[in-house]
Amino acid sequence: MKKDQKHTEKTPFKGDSDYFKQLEESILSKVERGATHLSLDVDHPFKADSKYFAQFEKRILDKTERSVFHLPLGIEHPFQAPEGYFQQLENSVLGQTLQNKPSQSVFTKIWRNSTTYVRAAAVVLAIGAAGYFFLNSNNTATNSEIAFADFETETLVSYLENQELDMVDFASIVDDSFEANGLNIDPLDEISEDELLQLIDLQYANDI
Amino acid sequence: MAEEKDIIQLLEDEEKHPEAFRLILSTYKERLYFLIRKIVIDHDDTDDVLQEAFVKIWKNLDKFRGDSNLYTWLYRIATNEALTFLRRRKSQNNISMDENPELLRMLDSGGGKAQHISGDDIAIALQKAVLQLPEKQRLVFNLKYFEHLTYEEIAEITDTSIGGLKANYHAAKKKIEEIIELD
Repeated sequence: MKKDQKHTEKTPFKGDSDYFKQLEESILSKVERGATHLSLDVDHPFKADSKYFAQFEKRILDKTERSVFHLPLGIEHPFQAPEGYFQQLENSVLGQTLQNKPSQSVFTKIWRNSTTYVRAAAVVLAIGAAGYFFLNSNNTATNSEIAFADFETETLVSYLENQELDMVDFASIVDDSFEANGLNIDPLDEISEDELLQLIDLQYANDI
Repeated sequence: MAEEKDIIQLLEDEEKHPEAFRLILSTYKERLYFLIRKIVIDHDDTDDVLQEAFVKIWKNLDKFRGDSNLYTWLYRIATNEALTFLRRRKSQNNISMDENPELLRMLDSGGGKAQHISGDDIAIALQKAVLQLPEKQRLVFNLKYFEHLTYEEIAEITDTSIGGLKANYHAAKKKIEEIIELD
């Protein structure tokens, strides 16, 4: 308050005491005179045919029903199998599996029941017999005989530990190698690690 | 028809694998036939792929782990065999993996190479529309619409996330509706 009083006291201007009241009345009177009030009942000028909306609704419904296809559930496939096919299939599959091959190959038995070192030894035997699988899989080999002589069991172990071999295909190739080179092993026989090592010695002796 | 749990029990003992395989063959041969048939269309091709699939199942019985359903494991092998067959043939003929002109011709020819097809028009129209889908959408649509598998089961078979499968199925369904609508 003291500050305001001080300020008032310092202002040198003075006005008529009714001036501000008259100013307010004058402004309001000018605004009211110039204002246009929008009437609430003014209509738009657009017109539509009286039947238009009834037809429009029908047209839209017709269009949506006609053009959008909804895939119903339960449509069956049209395929049929020839008569007697499934019996024939069973016979054919059993002929290729249970009635044809041993349930487990020699190599698979060795692979499953041995340490990585013995697995490597089995591969050495297979390579000695067939001489291509491992070398073809290894990019560093250029000549099978030279490269084979250079491989040590450690290398093979490392190779085997770092490869994800498809056992079925691999065993099949190796078993074929055994057979192709006259290593007739009865698939039903169990092979011990010692016997396997003897086979390797025999293979080397033959090669040399 | 054997129960899946009975077969799984036999699979736990390696000595009983032959018996388990016989039961798998007799129980699932028809389901796997029609699963493959919807992918390769032709009966003779289906027969080749199905026999290969069963041989592979036999050779890999010891790899089945009881942590997944047996039938999803079987479906996975059969599906992979069928897709590999198609990819190999398309690759030989320089055809994009997402196009199936030869399979469409088989369906069109009716009495031609793709024999043993019923005369149901809507069923054939649907198969022709499915053949126009990209490979992944086609596979997911077949497994969901015709085999009635859940997204969880399809995820096990196709190694795809459930979100991805839903997107594939809805895109496939929409595209099929558009194709049939245009025809």
